[in-house]
Amino acid sequence: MCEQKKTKRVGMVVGIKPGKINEYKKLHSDSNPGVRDLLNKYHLHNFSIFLHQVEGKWYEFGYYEYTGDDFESDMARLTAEPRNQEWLELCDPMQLPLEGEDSWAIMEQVYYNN
Amino acid sequence: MKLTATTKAICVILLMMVTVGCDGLMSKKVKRVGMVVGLNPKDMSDYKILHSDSNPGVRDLLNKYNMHNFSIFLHQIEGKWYEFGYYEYTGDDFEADMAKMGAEPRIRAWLKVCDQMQLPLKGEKSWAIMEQVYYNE
Repeated sequence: MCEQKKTKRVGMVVGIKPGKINEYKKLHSDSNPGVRDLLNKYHLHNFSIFLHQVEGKWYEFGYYEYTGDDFESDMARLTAEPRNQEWLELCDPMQLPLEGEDSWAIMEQVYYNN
Repeated sequence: MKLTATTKAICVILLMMVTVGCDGLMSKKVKRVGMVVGLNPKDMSDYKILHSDSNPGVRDLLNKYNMHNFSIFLHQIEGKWYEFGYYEYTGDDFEADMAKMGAEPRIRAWLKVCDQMQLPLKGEKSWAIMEQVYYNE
Protein backbone atom coordinates (compact mmCIF):
# COMPACT_ATOMS: atom_id res chain seq x y z
CA MET A 1 0.00 0.00 0.00
CA CYS A 2 2.82 2.39 0.87
CA GLU A 3 5.16 1.15 -1.85
CA GLN A 4 8.59 2.79 -1.96
CA LYS A 5 9.66 1.43 -5.35
CA LYS A 6 11.04 4.70 -6.61
CA THR A 7 12.79 5.86 -3.44
CA LYS A 8 16.38 7.06 -3.89
CA ARG A 9 18.35 6.84 -0.64
CA VAL A 10 21.08 9.43 -0.19
CA GLY A 11 23.90 9.25 2.38
CA MET A 12 26.28 12.18 2.65
CA VAL A 13 29.10 13.50 4.83
CA VAL A 14 30.69 16.88 5.62
CA GLY A 15 32.97 18.19 8.36
CA ILE A 16 31.72 20.60 11.03
CA LYS A 17 33.74 23.22 12.89
CA PRO A 18 33.87 22.12 16.56
CA GLY A 19 33.19 25.69 17.73
CA LYS A 20 29.94 25.74 15.74
CA ILE A 21 28.39 22.48 16.99
CA ASN A 22 26.08 24.09 19.58
CA GLU A 23 24.88 26.70 17.12
CA TYR A 24 24.34 24.04 14.46
CA LYS A 25 22.28 21.93 16.87
CA LYS A 26 20.08 24.90 17.80
CA LEU A 27 19.55 25.75 14.15
CA HIS A 28 18.45 22.15 13.49
CA SER A 29 16.35 21.62 16.62
CA ASP A 30 12.72 20.47 16.45
CA SER A 31 11.52 23.93 17.42
CA ASN A 32 13.12 25.58 14.38
CA PRO A 33 11.06 25.24 11.18
CA GLY A 34 14.11 26.16 9.07
CA VAL A 35 13.50 24.97 5.51
CA ARG A 36 11.60 21.79 6.42
CA ASP A 37 8.66 22.71 4.18
CA LEU A 38 10.99 23.25 1.21
CA LEU A 39 12.59 19.83 1.67
CA ASN A 40 9.15 18.26 1.47
CA LYS A 41 8.15 20.45 -1.49
CA TYR A 42 11.03 18.95 -3.46
CA HIS A 43 10.37 15.38 -2.28
CA LEU A 44 13.11 15.02 0.35
CA HIS A 45 11.76 12.93 3.25
CA ASN A 46 12.85 10.98 6.33
CA PHE A 47 15.85 13.31 6.62
CA SER A 48 18.24 12.68 9.53
CA ILE A 49 21.55 14.31 10.41
CA PHE A 50 23.95 12.63 12.84
CA LEU A 51 27.19 13.95 14.37
CA HIS A 52 30.28 11.96 15.27
CA GLN A 53 33.98 12.43 15.83
CA VAL A 54 36.39 10.52 13.59
CA GLU A 55 40.10 10.66 14.45
CA GLY A 56 39.70 13.87 16.43
CA LYS A 57 37.59 15.76 13.89
CA TRP A 58 33.82 16.25 13.88
CA TYR A 59 31.62 15.22 10.96
CA GLU A 60 27.96 15.41 10.02
CA PHE A 61 26.32 12.44 8.33
CA GLY A 62 23.10 13.05 6.45
CA TYR A 63 20.52 10.52 5.25
CA TYR A 64 17.35 11.23 3.31
CA GLU A 65 14.95 9.64 0.87
CA TYR A 66 14.04 11.27 -2.43
CA THR A 67 10.58 10.24 -3.60
CA GLY A 68 10.14 12.43 -6.70
CA ASP A 69 10.58 11.65 -10.39
CA ASP A 70 13.41 14.00 -11.35
CA PHE A 71 16.16 14.31 -8.74
CA GLU A 72 18.45 16.69 -10.66
CA SER A 73 15.64 19.08 -11.52
CA ASP A 74 14.18 19.10 -7.99
CA MET A 75 17.63 19.73 -6.48
CA ALA A 76 18.20 22.62 -8.90
CA ARG A 77 14.84 24.17 -8.00
CA LEU A 78 15.46 23.70 -4.26
CA THR A 79 18.86 25.38 -4.60
CA ALA A 80 17.26 28.34 -6.40
CA GLU A 81 14.74 28.99 -3.59
CA PRO A 82 15.73 32.27 -1.84
CA ARG A 83 14.88 30.83 1.60
CA ASN A 84 17.09 27.83 0.93
CA GLN A 85 19.93 30.11 -0.16
CA GLU A 86 19.60 32.10 3.09
CA TRP A 87 19.62 28.83 5.06
CA LEU A 88 22.78 27.63 3.35
CA GLU A 89 24.42 31.01 4.01
CA LEU A 90 23.96 30.21 7.71
CA CYS A 91 24.99 26.53 7.57
CA ASP A 92 27.82 26.59 5.04
CA PRO A 93 30.23 28.66 7.21
CA MET A 94 29.82 26.07 9.99
CA GLN A 95 30.83 23.22 7.73
CA LEU A 96 34.21 21.97 6.50
CA PRO A 97 33.73 20.11 3.21
CA LEU A 98 35.99 17.12 2.55
CA GLU A 99 38.92 17.60 0.19
CA GLY A 100 37.76 18.33 -3.33
CA GLU A 101 34.15 19.01 -2.27
CA ASP A 102 32.15 22.27 -2.07
CA SER A 103 29.62 21.02 0.48
CA TRP A 104 28.19 17.60 1.46
CA ALA A 105 29.97 14.66 -0.24
CA ILE A 106 27.61 12.00 -1.57
CA MET A 107 28.53 8.50 -0.37
CA GLU A 108 28.26 5.19 -2.21
CA GLN A 109 25.45 2.91 -1.06
CA VAL A 110 26.60 -0.72 -0.78
CA TYR A 111 23.73 -2.31 1.14
CA TYR A 112 20.00 -2.04 1.56
CA ASN A 113 17.49 -4.17 3.44
CA ASN A 114 13.85 -3.17 3.81
CA MET B 1 -28.51 4.71 7.51
CA LYS B 2 -27.92 3.77 11.16
CA LEU B 3 -24.30 3.02 12.06
CA THR B 4 -23.31 0.80 14.95
CA ALA B 5 -20.54 1.91 17.31
CA THR B 6 -18.18 -0.69 15.79
CA THR B 7 -18.89 0.48 12.24
CA LYS B 8 -18.27 4.08 13.32
CA ALA B 9 -14.96 3.10 14.94
CA ILE B 10 -13.83 1.28 11.79
CA CYS B 11 -14.75 4.34 9.70
CA VAL B 12 -12.68 6.59 11.97
CA ILE B 13 -9.64 4.26 11.74
CA LEU B 14 -9.96 4.04 7.93
CA LEU B 15 -10.24 7.82 7.71
CA MET B 16 -7.11 8.20 9.85
CA MET B 17 -5.20 5.78 7.62
CA VAL B 18 -6.18 7.77 4.54
CA THR B 19 -5.37 11.18 6.00
CA VAL B 20 -2.27 10.29 8.03
CA GLY B 21 -0.97 7.58 5.69
CA CYS B 22 0.99 4.45 6.52
CA ASP B 23 4.22 6.36 7.14
CA GLY B 24 2.56 8.67 9.64
CA LEU B 25 1.01 5.81 11.58
CA MET B 26 4.25 3.83 11.66
CA SER B 27 6.75 6.57 12.35
CA LYS B 28 5.57 7.35 15.90
CA LYS B 29 7.71 4.74 17.63
CA VAL B 30 10.59 4.60 15.18
CA LYS B 31 14.11 4.86 16.63
CA ARG B 32 16.57 6.03 13.96
CA VAL B 33 20.12 4.78 14.35
CA GLY B 34 23.18 6.21 12.58
CA MET B 35 26.53 4.52 13.05
CA VAL B 36 30.09 4.56 11.73
CA VAL B 37 33.05 2.17 11.54
CA GLY B 38 36.30 2.00 9.54
CA LEU B 39 36.74 -0.48 6.69
CA ASN B 40 40.01 -2.15 5.79
CA PRO B 41 40.60 -1.10 2.15
CA LYS B 42 41.91 -4.55 1.21
CA ASP B 43 38.54 -6.06 2.16
CA MET B 44 36.37 -3.60 0.26
CA SER B 45 35.52 -5.89 -2.66
CA ASP B 46 34.73 -8.81 -0.35
CA TYR B 47 32.56 -6.55 1.82
CA LYS B 48 30.57 -5.32 -1.16
CA ILE B 49 30.02 -8.87 -2.47
CA LEU B 50 28.96 -10.01 1.00
CA HIS B 51 26.39 -7.19 1.14
CA SER B 52 25.12 -7.38 -2.45
CA ASP B 53 21.44 -7.82 -3.27
CA SER B 54 22.06 -11.40 -4.32
CA ASN B 55 23.34 -12.41 -0.88
CA PRO B 56 20.57 -13.11 1.66
CA GLY B 57 23.08 -12.84 4.53
CA VAL B 58 21.15 -12.15 7.74
CA ARG B 59 18.43 -9.95 6.22
CA ASP B 60 15.65 -12.11 7.68
CA LEU B 61 17.13 -11.84 11.18
CA LEU B 62 17.30 -8.04 10.98
CA ASN B 63 13.59 -8.00 10.22
CA LYS B 64 12.87 -10.57 12.93
CA TYR B 65 14.31 -8.13 15.49
CA ASN B 66 12.49 -5.09 14.05
CA MET B 67 15.36 -3.46 12.14
CA HIS B 68 14.17 -1.96 8.86
CA ASN B 69 15.14 0.41 6.06
CA PHE B 70 18.79 -0.50 6.65
CA SER B 71 21.39 1.21 4.41
CA ILE B 72 25.18 1.09 4.48
CA PHE B 73 27.22 3.72 2.65
CA LEU B 74 30.99 3.91 2.05
CA HIS B 75 33.15 7.01 1.84
CA GLN B 76 36.77 8.04 2.23
CA ILE B 77 37.76 10.65 4.85
CA GLU B 78 41.33 11.93 4.86
CA GLY B 79 42.59 8.86 3.01
CA LYS B 80 40.80 6.24 5.12
CA TRP B 81 37.61 4.34 4.28
CA TYR B 82 34.55 4.33 6.51
CA GLU B 83 31.15 2.65 6.53
CA PHE B 84 28.07 4.61 7.58
CA GLY B 85 25.03 2.64 8.63
CA TYR B 86 21.43 3.85 9.00
CA TYR B 87 18.42 1.82 10.13
CA GLU B 88 15.07 2.19 11.78
CA TYR B 89 14.10 0.15 14.83
CA THR B 90 10.36 -0.37 15.03
CA GLY B 91 10.04 -2.69 18.04
CA ASP B 92 9.17 -1.98 21.67
CA ASP B 93 12.35 -3.08 23.46
CA PHE B 94 15.55 -2.13 21.65
CA GLU B 95 18.00 -3.51 24.23
CA ALA B 96 16.21 -6.86 24.49
CA ASP B 97 15.93 -7.27 20.72
CA MET B 98 19.61 -6.42 20.22
CA ALA B 99 20.60 -8.93 22.93
CA LYS B 100 18.43 -11.66 21.35
CA MET B 101 19.79 -10.95 17.89
CA GLY B 102 23.36 -10.95 19.22
CA ALA B 103 22.77 -14.46 20.53
CA GLU B 104 21.58 -15.87 17.16
CA PRO B 105 24.20 -18.35 15.87
CA ARG B 106 23.78 -17.06 12.29
CA ILE B 107 24.46 -13.47 13.41
CA ARG B 108 27.56 -14.61 15.28
CA ALA B 109 28.81 -16.40 12.17
CA TRP B 110 28.03 -13.30 10.05
CA LEU B 111 29.87 -10.95 12.41
CA LYS B 112 32.91 -13.25 12.48
CA VAL B 113 33.23 -12.59 8.76
CA CYS B 114 32.41 -8.84 8.82
CA ASP B 115 34.25 -7.86 12.01
CA GLN B 116 37.60 -8.84 10.50
CA MET B 117 37.05 -6.39 7.64
CA GLN B 118 36.21 -3.48 9.92
CA LEU B 119 38.45 -1.06 11.82
CA PRO B 120 36.45 0.29 14.79
CA LEU B 121 37.04 3.90 15.83
CA LYS B 122 39.23 4.53 18.87
CA GLY B 123 37.60 3.20 22.02
CA GLU B 124 34.98 1.19 20.12
CA LYS B 125 34.65 -2.55 19.54
CA SER B 126 32.46 -2.34 16.45
CA TRP B 127 30.09 0.27 14.96
CA ALA B 128 30.06 3.58 16.90
CA ILE B 129 26.56 4.98 17.47
CA MET B 130 26.26 8.61 16.34
CA GLU B 131 24.22 11.44 17.88
CA GLN B 132 21.12 12.45 15.93
CA VAL B 133 20.76 16.25 15.75
CA TYR B 134 18.09 16.67 13.07
CA TYR B 135 15.00 14.94 11.77
CA ASN B 136 12.44 16.01 9.22
CA GLU B 137 9.68 13.75 8.04
